[in-house]
Amino acid sequence: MLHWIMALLILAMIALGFWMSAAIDDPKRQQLAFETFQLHKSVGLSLLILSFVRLGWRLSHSPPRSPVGIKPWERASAKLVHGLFYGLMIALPLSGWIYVSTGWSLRINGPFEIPTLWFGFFEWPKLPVVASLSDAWRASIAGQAMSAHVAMVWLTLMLFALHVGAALKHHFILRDATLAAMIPGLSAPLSSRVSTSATEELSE
Amino acid sequence: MIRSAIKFSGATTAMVLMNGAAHSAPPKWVIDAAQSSIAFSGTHAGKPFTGKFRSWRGDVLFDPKDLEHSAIIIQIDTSSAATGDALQEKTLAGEEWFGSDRVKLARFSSRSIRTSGSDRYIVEGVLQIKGRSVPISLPFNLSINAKTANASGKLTLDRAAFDLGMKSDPKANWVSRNIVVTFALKASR
Repeated sequence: MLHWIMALLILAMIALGFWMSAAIDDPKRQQLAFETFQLHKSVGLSLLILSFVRLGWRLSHSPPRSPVGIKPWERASAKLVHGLFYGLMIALPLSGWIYVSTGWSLRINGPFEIPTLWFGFFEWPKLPVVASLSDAWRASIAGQAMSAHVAMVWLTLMLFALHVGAALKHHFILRDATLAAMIPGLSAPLSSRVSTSATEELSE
Repeated sequence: MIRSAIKFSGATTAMVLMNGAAHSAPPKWVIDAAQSSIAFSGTHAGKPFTGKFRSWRGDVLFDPKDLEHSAIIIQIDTSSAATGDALQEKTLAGEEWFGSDRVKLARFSSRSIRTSGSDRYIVEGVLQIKGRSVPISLPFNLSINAKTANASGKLTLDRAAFDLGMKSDPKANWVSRNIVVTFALKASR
């Protein structure tokens, strides 16, 4: 369930991120873009927390079983993509947090001190070390954090394409129960091609 | 609510107001804070905002027939600024706005008052915020009815003159340079 909620939120965040970055320079949309930035930060920090919850769950529970006949390269690429997703889910909001902690705006290339409020309820602290560095250091870190943030977004989109492609391949071409295992109420096109062997786990 | 915790210089104020009063000084007026307001407004991200200062005090000696010895001192606790928007309020408490002011007081002291029409006056004075003093010429309306008075007026300030928000927004891309302060005071003697 957390998988789907977070997937939807992450896709929404990517869309919002692209939109707000463009709209902030448009006087007609500046107000809405400003509100969107605040929403983006609140959702992003929530996703950071949820990612740790998700990771904790993954490390303490066995994942769905892998389909019968999975090839070593398929197992390995699934493990890689899923591992990267966990890393991205944590590193993306973290890079955003680093950026706001510098109190530096790349857009105006100058200091920009605005508190981060979690949905308007309480102030989310800045990361300690980052916030107290010199202007030069903060500007540099802001640049690197935002470059990383954007690069990771593109990586996420590429992996998303692979991930969805693989899921659809399993469901429509291989006709196994991989996707069915992720969607309650969905059954495999061909009945039980899921491995019952305890040793064959879907490597994540 | 926190007025008692703020060190309004009451004693000093009284002395300043009474200075030079060899004859009977103009009567002291007590401002009813509950029925008075000091508000401010501007625009942020293209959207208008208004706020109030919740904590302030005024010391007034006023006699329309003795303007020479009349005096007005208003002291505002700047940490009491409230707009109803948490992000704005937290920002106002920040270092580059009111946060860096050690005394957290904005102070207006009158230098002279003259009449400018029926129930209209102009007070010349100095407004001090964050250690910066700016001469102010403030027209206001005042109607006195026996022992009660109603005063109101409006003042447009340039936040740059008081170094408010000049680090993050010096070109006023976000918060307007002009901040309009309006007051409506009810007092009695």
